[in-house]
Amino acid sequence: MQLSTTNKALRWLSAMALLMSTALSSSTWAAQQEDGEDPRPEVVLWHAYRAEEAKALEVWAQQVNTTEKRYRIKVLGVPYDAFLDKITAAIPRGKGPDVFIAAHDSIGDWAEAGTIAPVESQVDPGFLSRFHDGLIPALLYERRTEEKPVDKDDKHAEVITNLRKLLPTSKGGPSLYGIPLAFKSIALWRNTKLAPNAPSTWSELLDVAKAKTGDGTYGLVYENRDLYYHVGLLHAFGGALFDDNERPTVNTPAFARSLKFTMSLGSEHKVLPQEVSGTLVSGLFNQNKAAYIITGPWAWGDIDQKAVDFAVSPLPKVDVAVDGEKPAGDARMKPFLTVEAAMVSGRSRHPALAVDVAKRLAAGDASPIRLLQGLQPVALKETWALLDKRVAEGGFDRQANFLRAFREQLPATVPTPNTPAMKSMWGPVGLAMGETLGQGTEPSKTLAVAQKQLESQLKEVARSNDDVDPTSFYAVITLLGLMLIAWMLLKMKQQGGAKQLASDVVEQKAAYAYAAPAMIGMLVLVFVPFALGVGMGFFKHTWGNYSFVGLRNFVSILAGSDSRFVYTLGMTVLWTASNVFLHVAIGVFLALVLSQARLKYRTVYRVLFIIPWAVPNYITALIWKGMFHPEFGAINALLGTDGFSWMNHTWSAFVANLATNTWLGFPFMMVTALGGLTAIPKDLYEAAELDGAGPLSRFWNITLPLLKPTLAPAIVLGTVWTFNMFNVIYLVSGGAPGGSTDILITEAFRWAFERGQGGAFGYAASYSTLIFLMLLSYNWASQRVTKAIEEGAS
Amino acid sequence: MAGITLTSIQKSYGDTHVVKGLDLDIQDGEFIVLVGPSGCGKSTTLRMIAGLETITGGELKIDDVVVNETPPGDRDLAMVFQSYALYPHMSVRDNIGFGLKVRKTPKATLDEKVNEVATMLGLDELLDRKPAQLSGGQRQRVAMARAIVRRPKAFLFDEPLSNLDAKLRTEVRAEIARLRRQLGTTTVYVTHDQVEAMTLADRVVVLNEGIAQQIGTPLEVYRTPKNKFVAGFLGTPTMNFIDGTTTDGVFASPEETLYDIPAAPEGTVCVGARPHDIWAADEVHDVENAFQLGELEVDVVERLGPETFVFGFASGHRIAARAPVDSDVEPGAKLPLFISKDHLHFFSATGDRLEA
Repeated sequence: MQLSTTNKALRWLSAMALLMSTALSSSTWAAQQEDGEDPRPEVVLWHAYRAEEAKALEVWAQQVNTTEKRYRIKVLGVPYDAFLDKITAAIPRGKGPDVFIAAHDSIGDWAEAGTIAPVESQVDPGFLSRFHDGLIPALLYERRTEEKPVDKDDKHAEVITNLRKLLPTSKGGPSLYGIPLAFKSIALWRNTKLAPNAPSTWSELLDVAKAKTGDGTYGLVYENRDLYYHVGLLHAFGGALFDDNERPTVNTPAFARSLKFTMSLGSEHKVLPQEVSGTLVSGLFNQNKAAYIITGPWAWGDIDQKAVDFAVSPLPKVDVAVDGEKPAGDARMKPFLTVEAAMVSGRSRHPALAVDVAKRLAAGDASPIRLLQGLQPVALKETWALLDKRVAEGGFDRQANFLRAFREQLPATVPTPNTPAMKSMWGPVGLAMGETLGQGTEPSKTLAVAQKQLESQLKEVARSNDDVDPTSFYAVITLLGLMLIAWMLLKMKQQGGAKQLASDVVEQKAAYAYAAPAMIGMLVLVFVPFALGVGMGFFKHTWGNYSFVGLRNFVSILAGSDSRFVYTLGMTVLWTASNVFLHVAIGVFLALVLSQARLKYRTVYRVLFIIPWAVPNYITALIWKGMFHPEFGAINALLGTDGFSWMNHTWSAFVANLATNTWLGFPFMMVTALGGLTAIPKDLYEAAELDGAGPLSRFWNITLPLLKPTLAPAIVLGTVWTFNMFNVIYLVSGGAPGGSTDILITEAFRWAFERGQGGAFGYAASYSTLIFLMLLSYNWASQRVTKAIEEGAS
Repeated sequence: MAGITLTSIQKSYGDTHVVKGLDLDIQDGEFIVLVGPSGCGKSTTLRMIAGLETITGGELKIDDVVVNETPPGDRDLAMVFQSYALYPHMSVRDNIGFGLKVRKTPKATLDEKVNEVATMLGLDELLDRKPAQLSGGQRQRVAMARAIVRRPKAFLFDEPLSNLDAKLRTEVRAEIARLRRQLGTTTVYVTHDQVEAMTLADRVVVLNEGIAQQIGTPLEVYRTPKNKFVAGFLGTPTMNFIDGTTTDGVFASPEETLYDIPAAPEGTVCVGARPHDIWAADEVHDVENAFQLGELEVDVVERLGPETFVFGFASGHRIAARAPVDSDVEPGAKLPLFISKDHLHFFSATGDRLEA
């Protein structure tokens, strides 16, 4: 067969492509083989360090690898935002690291789920005494739930069993789940030009702060609405988050007073800006517009060393009266202590080696490197002696002052509780603080609400899993499956039976071949996950355990006493309706303007108007959020409403969300309408003109009715997208205030990822299923309307 | 009903002049047809009258009122478009009544008028249908009904029959003629079809390249065309033209001498003779003042039923002529050509009509 030139060229090209890809893959394979020639087992270490800390770690690992004979360390940096989730997700699948560095407060969750393994059998008390006091207790935890029996079919079964033999859980009492590397807490940083001396009491601090506030400069900048930053004050006023029985106690006079104190900083003393974020703290500090800031050692990397002269000191005592009373006793601020520790994966293949690496990281050569190069307040006491030597060498004064300040603060800290109950604390208390500090609501009221929420959450955790027999569920599923198969067989028979189907496929094999990738893709990427998602709604999930609960999730959502479903549904409908209305109105209006042939620079405008749609909506949402900041935002500057906090009131937060989403959404409608407008014949307008219809009448009687068939599907799409617009709601208002601007999809998200107990995936899945059903019925209803419209206009 | 006067009407788009100074005085109740080839400016003129195009120069008066700047809706005119321009989402009834509805006519009056016009055009049973459910002819009638219902000062038709097939065209043409008799409204009608022009018009305006070539009654324009363009435009098959020079009363064409052409004017002359007036036959009867023009070598024979035309060459000129219906002429035959000298047209070198 003679090949045409084109065919020959194509064949040659594909041969080249094949050769190249083979060459590439074999070279990577070869590279991998090179790695594998090293006979030492690999111990994988994950961390979430940045900049200097990360570099220091790499340097240390390389040093170890040149001399250590038993193993090789492989260091992997994971971005901080994703770190915890990755650990939680990867290790149970057997894909995570052998050892990793993380803060201690997740120990409770991880221990319960078997993500981390206890290490006490390989450490002796002598070793542990080399660390600062108060660090080891943070790393102890006692499991509540029974250890999961090893599933014999689990391919890691052998690994887990061996691990458990090696590092057995001590009976009776807590186990040690990590080796401390460094400690962190907040402390007081000051701009030495604005505040030369370290204040030992709050009165001293406030004097200086008030003097320095004005003209864009603030005396004190810290994240006052974050519980983490507030705990120090809470303890100073004699309050605590938990009682001796580890039950939450937030509804206390001490807590209320501590909140009133914080409120006074803004309202009475006026030293604090509004809506402070971490970026604002470092930002103002760098601009020399903040006299004092309160933050932790992690902020070192955000400070412009050349721009600001600063020093760090421990937090001052509270000697200010609230409600006529000064805090009794010590009144020292005791902020949360975070212990950074090296933890061993519960699924590690080399658990003993992993513990060894952890110990070296904590107490070997790594410690000085972490102190002097990583600027971490290290946990090992003896390393600190090297500090004086280093200072004597010169050029380390500021760093030394920085490190010593945190060590001085250490005795006046309380480790963040590592229990699951603590994880649940942030949500409700965060809401309470937000409402009090944002809207000025009486603290005792908001704290009472938080207390109630915490207690009901505890009840939910404690509630025993009703042993609902899943047999009936499986029976129904099987029956439905059989019915589906029977229906498909019947259809097949109607069209000629299996033989006919087979011959049809053979005949049209090209068509089926073309459609196959898409069909498979849809099956794998859409139908299977969808089915799993719906199915998940019938289960309850806590820390990796799924238990069948039938329709309880759905009932609880729809009819539960503390269910926010109806309110959230109403908010979602309002959100969707107002958005779609604005999108269509603005889109159609602009399309009409742009369809005037006489308009100059028409194409330029068209491009400009598409840009909002082209920018990823995640970024847009963040930009708009910044624009709505009460003091530094563009919106308030433009409207002249300086100081108005948009996120403090439901209606204004809603407007903020609406503005952002409208900016995002109108281009789509505009483009659709533009297309639809070109389809309307010009002579209809001329006929109407002669009939005496003015511009408005022409729009109403001709443009709009003939645009409806084009707009109808666009509106359906827009409605579905807006109904599920997660990004804007979550990022702009964040549901503020107090979750009142949350829509169904953000509610579902929070249930899955923000309400503790390892993630209420089953509950969230039920939410999603309900959303799906609602949108499905809306779609069905609108199709009938669209058909009617189309019939009308044809 | 009203008179429409165009005085030196011009239309230009930048440097392109589409209508170059048109003068036309349309009497009240007159049916004027603007006819001409594509691009001659007839539709543009119509749209200027309607107000859908701006007037670059000149004056337009309706009922002696200058309306250059008046918006279309206020000129009290109605237009029937080539594409019907029916509102697709409205019923026939609503389509017809739209103009009245816009002018806030009370419902009772509106319904009465719509029904009246519907009956006039035989649309009674179609009132509730949508345009998509009608045939082409029905749609055109609805368009006409919409124009009629307002009883405007004048009707404007923009090539209304172009989208219809031949049979329908004849029917609707008759319909238009009937309505014209019934209503007597002033009408300006644009077409490129000379049959429509000849049959419907009170007066015909033949346009070419933005200039009116001749304005007159259909028979005037047909029998005494003012120039070669008009002569060649009206009449199918087209008039035969023979160029030549007359010296001392003898007309000679550049290729060969034809038989004496009586009364040819002196100098450069173009002789025109309509095929309808030339007989290719051995002898002719009932043709006054007939003389032999030449001899035709027949090339093509077209038997149309009521008439037969033959095409061929006579003395080197391409000639079309008529043959007797029952003639059995075949291609290749040679026949003498006879024409009455009253049926000759003479044109100057510039194409203007010359009198014999």
